[in-house]
Amino acid sequence: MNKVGSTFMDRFVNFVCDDEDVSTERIRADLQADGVDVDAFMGRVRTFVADRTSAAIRANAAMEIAKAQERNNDVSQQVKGEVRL
Amino acid sequence: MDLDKIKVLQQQDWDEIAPRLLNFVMKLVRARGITYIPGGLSPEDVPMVCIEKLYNGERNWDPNGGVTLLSHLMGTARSLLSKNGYLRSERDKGVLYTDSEEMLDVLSTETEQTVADEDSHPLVKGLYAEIDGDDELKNVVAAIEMGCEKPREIAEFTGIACDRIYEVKRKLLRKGVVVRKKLGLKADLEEGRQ
Repeated sequence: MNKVGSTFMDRFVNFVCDDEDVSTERIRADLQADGVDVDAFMGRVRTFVADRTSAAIRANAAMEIAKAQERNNDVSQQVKGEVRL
Repeated sequence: MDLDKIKVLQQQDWDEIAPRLLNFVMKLVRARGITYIPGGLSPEDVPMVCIEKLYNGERNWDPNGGVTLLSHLMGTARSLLSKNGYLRSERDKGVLYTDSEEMLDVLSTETEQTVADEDSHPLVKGLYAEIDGDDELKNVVAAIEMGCEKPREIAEFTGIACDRIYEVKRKLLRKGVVVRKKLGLKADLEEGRQ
C-alpha cells in the first residue's frame, strides 16, 4: 500500500496534494477562491513559453542562414577555381 | 535546447499543466508548513522557476520517458521546496541565507524520521486533537497512519465516497495548517522562554 519507509508526514503530504482525479476547472475555481489570480499566472506561463519558442525559432533560423551562407561561399570558391582553370 | 524539443514543449497542454502545477505547489507549501521560500519567492513563482529549469535544461525531461510533463514538473517543485533542494543548490552558487530563512520546514520529513514512534509525532497528536469529534477525518488520519496515501485507497479504507474525498482532503489540509500554526506558536514560545 505505502512505499517502504514512508512516514506519516510523507503520506499526509502525498494525500492532500494528490488531485489527479479532480477536474482542471475545479482546481482553477478553488485556486481562485483561495485568492490566486489564475489568469495572471496563466498569462505568465503562456508568455514564457511563447518567448522561449520564438527565441529558439529565431536562433535556429539564424543558424540555418549562416550554414547556407557558408555553403554559398564554398560554391563561389569552387566556381572561381573552375573559371581560373 | 534543440528546436524539436522546444516545439514538443510548446505543444503541451499548458492550460491543464500550469494550474495543476500551481495547485500542487500551493498545497505542498501549506501541507509542509512552509512559511518562507528562499529568495522571497511567492508560491506562484515556484512553478515558473520549475518551468525555467525545464527550458534551461537544468531539469531535463524526456518526452518518451514515460513520465508526464506535469509529474516531472511536480518532482522539480517538490525538490525545490525541500531543505536539501533549493537551499543546497543556492549555497552551491554562493548565496547565503540567514538562520530564519533556513527554517523552511517547521516539521520536515527529516525531522520526522528521527521520531521513532509515529504516534508521538506532534503533527499526528495535534491532528487528532484538532479533529476531535469529526469521525470522518479521524478515519482518514487513521488510514494515513495505516499506510494509505492515494485518495482511492483512503476512500476504500474509510468507506467515504470517492467524489467526497476531495472535500475531505481540503478539510484535512485546513486542519493541518491550523495544527502547524499552533505548533509553530508553541515552538516560538518555548524558544522565548529559553
